[in-house]
Amino acid sequence: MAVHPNKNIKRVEIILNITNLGKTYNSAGKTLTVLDNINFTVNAGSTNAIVGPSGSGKTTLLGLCAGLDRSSTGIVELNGINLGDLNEDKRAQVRNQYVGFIFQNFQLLPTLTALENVMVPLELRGEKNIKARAMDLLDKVGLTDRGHHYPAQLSGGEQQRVSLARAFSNQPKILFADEPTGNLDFETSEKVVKLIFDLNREAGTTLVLVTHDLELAAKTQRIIRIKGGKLVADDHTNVIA
Amino acid sequence: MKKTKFAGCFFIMLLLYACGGKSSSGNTDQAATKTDTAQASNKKTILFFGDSLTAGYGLDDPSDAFPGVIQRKIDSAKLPYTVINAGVSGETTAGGLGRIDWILKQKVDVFILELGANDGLRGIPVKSTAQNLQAIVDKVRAKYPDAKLVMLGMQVPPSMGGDYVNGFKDVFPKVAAANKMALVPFLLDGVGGNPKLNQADGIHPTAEGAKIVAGNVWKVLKGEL
Amino acid sequence: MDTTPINYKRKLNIPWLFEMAWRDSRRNRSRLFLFVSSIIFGIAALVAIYSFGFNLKNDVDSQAATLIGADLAISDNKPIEASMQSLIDSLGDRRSEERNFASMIYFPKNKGTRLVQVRALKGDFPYYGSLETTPLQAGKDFRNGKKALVDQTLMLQFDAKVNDSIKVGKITFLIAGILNKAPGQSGIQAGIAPIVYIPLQYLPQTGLMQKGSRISYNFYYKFDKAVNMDKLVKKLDPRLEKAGMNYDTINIRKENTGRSFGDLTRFLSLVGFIALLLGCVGVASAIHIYVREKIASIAIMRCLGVKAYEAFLIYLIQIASIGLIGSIIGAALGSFVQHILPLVFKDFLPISISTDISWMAIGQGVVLGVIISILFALLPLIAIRNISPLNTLRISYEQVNLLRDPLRWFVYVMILGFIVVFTFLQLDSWLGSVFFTIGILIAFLILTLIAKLLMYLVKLFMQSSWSYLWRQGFANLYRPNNQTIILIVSIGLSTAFICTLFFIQSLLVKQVSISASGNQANMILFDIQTSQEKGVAALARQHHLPVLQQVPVVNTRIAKINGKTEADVKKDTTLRFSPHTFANEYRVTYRDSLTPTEKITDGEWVGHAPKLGDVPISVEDRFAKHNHLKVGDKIEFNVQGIPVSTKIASIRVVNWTKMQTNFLVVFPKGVLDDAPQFHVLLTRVPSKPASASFQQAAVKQFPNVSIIDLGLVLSVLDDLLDKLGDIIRFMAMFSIITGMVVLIASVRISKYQRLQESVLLRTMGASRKQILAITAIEYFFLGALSAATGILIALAGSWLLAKYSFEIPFNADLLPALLLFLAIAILTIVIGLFNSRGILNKPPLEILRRDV
Repeated sequence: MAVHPNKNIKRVEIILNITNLGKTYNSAGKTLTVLDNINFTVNAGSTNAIVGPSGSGKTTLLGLCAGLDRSSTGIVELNGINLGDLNEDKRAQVRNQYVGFIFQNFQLLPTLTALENVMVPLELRGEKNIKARAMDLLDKVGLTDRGHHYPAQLSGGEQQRVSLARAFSNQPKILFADEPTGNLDFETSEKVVKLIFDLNREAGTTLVLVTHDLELAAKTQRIIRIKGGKLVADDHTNVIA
Repeated sequence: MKKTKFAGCFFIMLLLYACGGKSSSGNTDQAATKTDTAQASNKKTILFFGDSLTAGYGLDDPSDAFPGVIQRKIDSAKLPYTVINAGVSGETTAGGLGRIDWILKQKVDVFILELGANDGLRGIPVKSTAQNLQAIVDKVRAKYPDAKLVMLGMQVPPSMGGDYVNGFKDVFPKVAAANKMALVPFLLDGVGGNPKLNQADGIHPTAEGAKIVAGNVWKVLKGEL
Repeated sequence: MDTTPINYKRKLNIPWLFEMAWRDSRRNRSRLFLFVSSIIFGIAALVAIYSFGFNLKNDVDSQAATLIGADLAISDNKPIEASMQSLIDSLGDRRSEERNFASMIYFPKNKGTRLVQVRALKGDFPYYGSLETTPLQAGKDFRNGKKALVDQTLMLQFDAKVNDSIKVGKITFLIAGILNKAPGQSGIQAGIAPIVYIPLQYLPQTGLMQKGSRISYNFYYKFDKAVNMDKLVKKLDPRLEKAGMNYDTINIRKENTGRSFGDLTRFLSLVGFIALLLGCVGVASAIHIYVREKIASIAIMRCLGVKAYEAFLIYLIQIASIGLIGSIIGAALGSFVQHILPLVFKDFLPISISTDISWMAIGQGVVLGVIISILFALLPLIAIRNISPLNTLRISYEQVNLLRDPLRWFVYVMILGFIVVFTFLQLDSWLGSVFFTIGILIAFLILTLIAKLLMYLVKLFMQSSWSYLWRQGFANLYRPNNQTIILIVSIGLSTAFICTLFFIQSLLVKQVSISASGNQANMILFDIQTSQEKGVAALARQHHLPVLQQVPVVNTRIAKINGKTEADVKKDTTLRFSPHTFANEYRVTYRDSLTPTEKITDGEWVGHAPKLGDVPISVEDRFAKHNHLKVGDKIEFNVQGIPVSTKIASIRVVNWTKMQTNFLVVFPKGVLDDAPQFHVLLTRVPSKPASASFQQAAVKQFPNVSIIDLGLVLSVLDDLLDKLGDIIRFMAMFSIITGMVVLIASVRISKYQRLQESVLLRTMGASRKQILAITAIEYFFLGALSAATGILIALAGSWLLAKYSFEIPFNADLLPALLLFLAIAILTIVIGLFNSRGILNKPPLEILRRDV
């Protein structure tokens, strides 16, 4: 956990620290290595893209970074917390506290309205004034009057915007997005991407997105390339100092 | 546990199996179980021809029935007689008549007739009982003219109603007199109606009661021996 | 940048859990209803069967109560001892006293006398049923004056009319009415003689109560509040026993009446048990599929930071609530059904069944519904804790195995424990409940095994050369997301239950109809002498009465068993014969064939005695066991003085429940034919006038022959036994139908399993016919295989039940079983096809939108 003896000194904070990360699956007696010795760090407030061909392990990497799964080897440190030390329930708490998610297929709770979907992370934290805040977020994603619709009644773009509102509702330190535009048409994608980046900037959230859409990746400050479970390139050229 | 049983009457035993009851454990004659000894030792034979009272229904040891007691009396008096118990539970006079030929295959010196109680309890007309008794006596007389005959008198409970009770009671002295038989006026004298001397069914004497019954018979019988 | 420290021990926000549970239930209510419907039908079946059975039991009990007419009867054949008087006077809330005895009564009008059973009565007896008389009020009024009730047959025999008089002892009574039916009769006691009721207050004046009179003293008690009679008599037993008194209760009478009541009770327990299991099947299969569908939502929640046990609790709350609501609706439906059905089937129902709402059954149903919901939901729910949030990124069915949690063993134990406890409540025997539960467990395992085997074999043998439709249909049986195990288990178990009920039902009905009247004898003539045998039979035929049985009876006694005499047995205690074996008298018969109610279990029946050697006899099974006799043992009988050596040639089982002459020992023809004997003749008189005229003629011609007319006795009992058969049949049908409904519901919930795929196929252009064919193939295999397995399980189960629980011979009707198999197989296909109907009739997109 980072401590700041002197707040006046501007320091680059490391929100995500990946060390020697590896993930293997055992299936039918064979060991399948999905990720192998990955190392990188992510600065707070930065925008990052993990790119790579299908099956390269990028989604697995995202899952591990976000604490959705346990690594086989190596360390994932999120906001200074070693996720490997935590059990699933504690990781859930960490997610609730620091992490936002956007999924390729939106993953809204189908039985909850758009508004309720946005409210869930806040409710979990036991916060006050939840409804107003959730409405506010829906406002920001332009769905003011769709709050009482169920996901099935919304279009893909709308659903993704709801999930965006949900992702930002707990004011996460880091936002993970898994192919956020994968299921959307071009125009909708544009809108959603713009929203993601706008909200991100506004909240000062760190963004890690997984995509094979290079155009989208190009919008980030940094591109991490994965191939066959290995980190093949870490392109900081996009960094804006 | 004791559940209601209706083993009240002499002839109930038949019904118990007729109706599917399991305990068809009647108790009948020891007819001629001692025949062999009787003939072997050249003793004379006393034949008790009767129903469950003779057979010793309900007694743990059928030899505790009154004919058995009398055998003991004879033995202790060292008289040369052997008792044959030919009692069948539930036997009526009609049944006795049907059976008499079979029984008379053996030599009889003293014939003691103890039948009729079941007729009385079943309300069989007095006339019919008298006729059957007479027929039995006739058959004995025909086969063994020298045999001595003893009639054991019976009564039915007063609850059967005055006319019938009296008519029934009179059958035995009448038949006895007509055939010049010795008569025990009432076999169960001193026993009938006394719960202590009867089994739970209220009709059949206990071993204790059977001794008194034997006494009643012995009074008359000893004169005939 | 700062971080707020994480409080890992977040407080459980219970209201929020409830809210989530509520929210989650709102969407797709129609779909939820489908799940709930299984619970509803399961519980409705349970409640309907319970309340129905409950009312039925009460009704049958109250009818059985008319057999004795009071809650408790105490009798003594001697005047009550002073020490017992206070006890006799303290029991019950209402009391009646009766003295009865045999007496010759006199009909002054035609100067006839006849042996009757006089019953002198004081009090309001009977408390159940009534003295059925003509005229009606005579049954009550006769108690007020010097009046008598006279048995109908007796009236006919003596051509007596109401208001004539009869003389009992010294008193003349006015005949107030004809007695048609009276409770409190025991077969034998009542059969001895026709009954005449008089008021007790006139008994002393008759002069019949004297020393030496044989009077039995009876006391009848009614308890206004419910009292456990079994417990009461158990307490009283030692005192009554000591005083030489007998007692009788409704339960004892039922026990003695034969096995039919016991069979009914056991059958109702079985039905209750099966209803419960049907409820379980319905609920369990619904919940199982329901939770499976919730995996995605749970994964998302986990992703958003919902803890494992929070997710578990949300769904536990939801399912408990759904279970509660479903159970309440089910209970209401069940009560409604049990209320309506008897009205609808009024004409078919054997007895008027009260349609009281049984709160007991409703309460039981609701509580059970919730318990079952939770128990069976626990199995998939504990696995919720293991659903990885990773499922949001890639849904992998292989990874989400709902049945891989060590805690599941705990749940299994709970479920088994629940079934055992519940079964115990039904059966009142731990051993029985354990066996029942093990039976269910085995059935469950067999079905699971069959399902696995099917999946394995289909996978193994599937040929790529088969047409696409066949391949797709078969593949559906083993592919991920298959419903093979759940459906085979639920269809198989339902079939097994339905079929078991059917088998047992028909066995019992057969059994009861043997015991019930039909063409059973209701009149016994005995003490017929050999010379009268033909005459009596001829007289019966002359009166158009059938000679149902005519058997000779010979009195014998056992002299030796295997060479040992009574004296030997008394001396040598190692010989296992009771001395009573020798003290007892045996009434045997001889004939050349077995009767239909006899069956040889060991050895060989011999109908004719050989010229030389030991006489081959047949011995009754229980008698043989009791005396340790076996085939080949030698018994020397003493047939009134003549020794007869015999050898046990066979052991027989005898159905004692049938009204007929049965014998412990049967001789072959050719040995006892000339022995002293009398004959028993059994006939059936169709009516009381017929009985009266035949008795009149018989008594006149054969005065020594005794006649027992069981008509009065049997009519009360027969009515009841006749009805028992119908009740069992009705109850079984009722349960079978509810079983079918549960089965339909369980198959119906599989609707959504195939929805996505069918839509996909449809989208890709599959024709209606193709989709139907694929569905039909899948459901046919599921239905046929599980029905066949279920029926086989039912056969085994019924055999065990028949042998060990009901103790009746088992023989299965295979045709109905075959029909049941076809019905269930077809039903499964039809529901399967019906399930995909929605997909075929609407545009794919609409379905996806609506039902996701």
